[in-house]
Amino acid sequence: MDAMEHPLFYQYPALPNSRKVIKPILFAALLLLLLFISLVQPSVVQANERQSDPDGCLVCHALEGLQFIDKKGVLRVASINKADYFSSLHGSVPCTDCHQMKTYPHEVKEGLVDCSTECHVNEPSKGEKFTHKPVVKEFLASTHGHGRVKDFEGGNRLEEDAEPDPSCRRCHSNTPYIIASQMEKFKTEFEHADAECGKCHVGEIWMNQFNGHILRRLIGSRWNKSDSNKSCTQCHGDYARMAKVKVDDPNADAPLIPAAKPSDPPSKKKIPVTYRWIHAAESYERTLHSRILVVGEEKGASCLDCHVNHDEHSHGHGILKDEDKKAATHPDQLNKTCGASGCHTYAKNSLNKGFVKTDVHDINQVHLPNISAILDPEKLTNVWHWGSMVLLLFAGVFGLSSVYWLIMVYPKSKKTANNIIGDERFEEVMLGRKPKKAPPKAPVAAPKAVVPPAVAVKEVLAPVVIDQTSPSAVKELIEEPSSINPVATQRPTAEVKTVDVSRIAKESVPIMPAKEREDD
Amino acid sequence: MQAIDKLKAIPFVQKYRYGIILLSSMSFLGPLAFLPQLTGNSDLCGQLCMRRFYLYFPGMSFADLWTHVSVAYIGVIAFALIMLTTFFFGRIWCSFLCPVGGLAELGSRMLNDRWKIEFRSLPQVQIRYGYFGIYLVAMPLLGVSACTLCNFITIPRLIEALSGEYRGVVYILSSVGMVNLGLLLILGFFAHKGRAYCQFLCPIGAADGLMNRFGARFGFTHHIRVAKERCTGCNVCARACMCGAIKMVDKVATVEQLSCMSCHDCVDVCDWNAIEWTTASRNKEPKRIKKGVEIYPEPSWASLNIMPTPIPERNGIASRIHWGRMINGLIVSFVIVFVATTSAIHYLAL
Repeated sequence: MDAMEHPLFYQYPALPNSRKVIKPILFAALLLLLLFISLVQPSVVQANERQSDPDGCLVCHALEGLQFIDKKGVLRVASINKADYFSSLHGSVPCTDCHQMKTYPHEVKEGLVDCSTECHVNEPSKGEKFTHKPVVKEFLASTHGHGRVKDFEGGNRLEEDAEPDPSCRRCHSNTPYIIASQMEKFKTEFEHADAECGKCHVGEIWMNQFNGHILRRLIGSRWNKSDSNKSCTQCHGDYARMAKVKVDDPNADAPLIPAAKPSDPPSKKKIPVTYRWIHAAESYERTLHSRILVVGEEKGASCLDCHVNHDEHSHGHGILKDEDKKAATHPDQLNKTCGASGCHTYAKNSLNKGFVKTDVHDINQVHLPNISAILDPEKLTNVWHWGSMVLLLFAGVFGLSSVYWLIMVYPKSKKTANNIIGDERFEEVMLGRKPKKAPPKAPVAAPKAVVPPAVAVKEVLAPVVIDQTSPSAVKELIEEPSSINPVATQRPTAEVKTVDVSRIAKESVPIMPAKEREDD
Repeated sequence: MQAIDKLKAIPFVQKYRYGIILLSSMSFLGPLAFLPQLTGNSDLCGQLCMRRFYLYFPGMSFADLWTHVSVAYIGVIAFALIMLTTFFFGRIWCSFLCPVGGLAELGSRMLNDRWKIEFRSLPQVQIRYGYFGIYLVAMPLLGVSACTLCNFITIPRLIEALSGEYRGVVYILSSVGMVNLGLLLILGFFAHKGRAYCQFLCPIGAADGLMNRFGARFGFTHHIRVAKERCTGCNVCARACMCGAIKMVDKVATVEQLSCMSCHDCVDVCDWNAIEWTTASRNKEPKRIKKGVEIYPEPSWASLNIMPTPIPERNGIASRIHWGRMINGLIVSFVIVFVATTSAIHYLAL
């Protein structure tokens, strides 16, 4: 049989007449396809406009070239780049939530910003209106509390720089734009987001929202401790500026100055800060807390780690003066601060009181402006340098007497090379030699019997056994070398005739054979 | 010239050792600080510190120990390497590599003996481990962590001061620096053979000594060993030993392994080849011997003389007190009791 008839060759049943069936099938398939395409859009996600500008501010403010020169001669630019603003952290906040103004069109001086206002933005987890009020409250109670928290506008930016206390704006840059120091990071992250997330989430509006909400926080949270120190050293690293700071006299009996208004309480007199206070940033740089951060390890301690209270209600803005009892750096609080988790947790233990006394801002490490500063007690509040003055004095005395010895005494001396002290003990303890004068302290090793040179002693009585406990006996000159075992003579009950031979010794023989001492 | 002749007379191994010490000093210390910079950090404190991570602060937990170890991880790795090489080869870090001890020793060897103090006969073990015990547990309690009174950093800061870095000058002129400079002078330059700091105050040396003693128990490790039958008791090795580790006991040299630094000085001067840096004798009995060949026993290289001088007993009770061992016991029990007490206070109070 041929292949077609083989039982393994399955013969399919014949199809019905194809022309009659294919058309409706194709038509149905086409319909399904269209339906599919219209419903299942694979990569487009729509988003709402970030905020729809309910007051229409951007009608004018989005125009380019909206700028003028103010009374002080400064160019003030009021144009806002819409896309940049929507990408910023505050992109969801309508303009008037911060710039609270009443009239339209408005004067320049209206619309000042207060950082503690409530917005219309509802914080998603609790549904409450979002506000910076608790942070502002903590900030106002802190040592920086005289800083500006409201009445911000473009015009007073320059005034603010001259103010001694920092404002919110000084540390938290609120430009709608990405600040220069974060630009590189932002570009990398943006490209990544565009490439990966942008596969599904397309559209300018969506990307604006993403940039504002997510990317900003991502970059911000990657701020490491070194970066956070930079926000402090902006001011505290400027020593000329810090030198102008005046603080309340902490002295309890300082005279009080009556206030301008009679109803206000009198204030303490202000005194300039100490050298140690001014150069705190520099002395911190010398400590290991800073040196570890500088090489890129996060295990060091930044300014905030020590100066900010670590309890759970803290918002991180409450830096208090050291003298304030609640300050994180007050001596009473130091064991909690140093003992924060991940740091020196044993500092919480009351036995470690010595540990928290370490001076982290040791002014003695700081580069002195000139050498006479060593003698200025105002500059150095530590006794180490005074101690070194005394040591230098002793060094001077020592040096002069050494010079005297070198010129006057040394030329006449026997130039032997024995150590100043310790040679005899070395011989006795390490080499097991018998001591010259004193009896051996303990029989650690059986001392080798030293054979003295033959000596004529003028007065010799009957053979005597040396009483070893007598300090005046000089053993070597009397014993017969081979017959007397020094250890054996320790029998306390032996009857001995003791002879004090020191007188004889001095008259007749040298006590110490000179050849015995060898050089190294 | 006399100086050149003196240099030529130095034994080969010592020349080699001095050369390595100089190379090591140039590599570890500023201004080059070549080796520290390989780890990305030329600051010898912080991550490279080998002396702080084993301190016991009262009430410390293992998490705290881990924090210390993870901050100083390079120092921990270096310390572990040192302990490992000491187990197999003796304290060669101390004698061949350490810039602090090595420079002090070289400085000392340049001075005449008449300026020096002979420290070698002091009870080294008791002083060293007594100080080590206090350093480990009592000083942290007093708030003196290893940094405040750091001796290690004296020589690096001195070199820094001499090369112009302000931090070095500040350190040397401070009271702490002056005291440490004084220690460097008394225990280094003006000490006979220059290693008194290493033997008395160095925590690495103390730990190394323990490891050396432990390693010497094993026959396959290289330590300084004495062949008793060859030793004539001539004293030359004891005089040459820069650590004062050799003591003549019954006219035979005995090496105190807690103090020995395997510097090879003793081997170089022994005319009788009775002391050597070697493993223990194997003395394997061959099952068969080739005809006409004589197999002699190896010298009995012994590193430890356990109980070199037995204390005489009367009715099973020692007739006198070995004060050295009593103090050793006191030191160990002090440390254990201290740690136990402070931990108990911490865990019961909190």
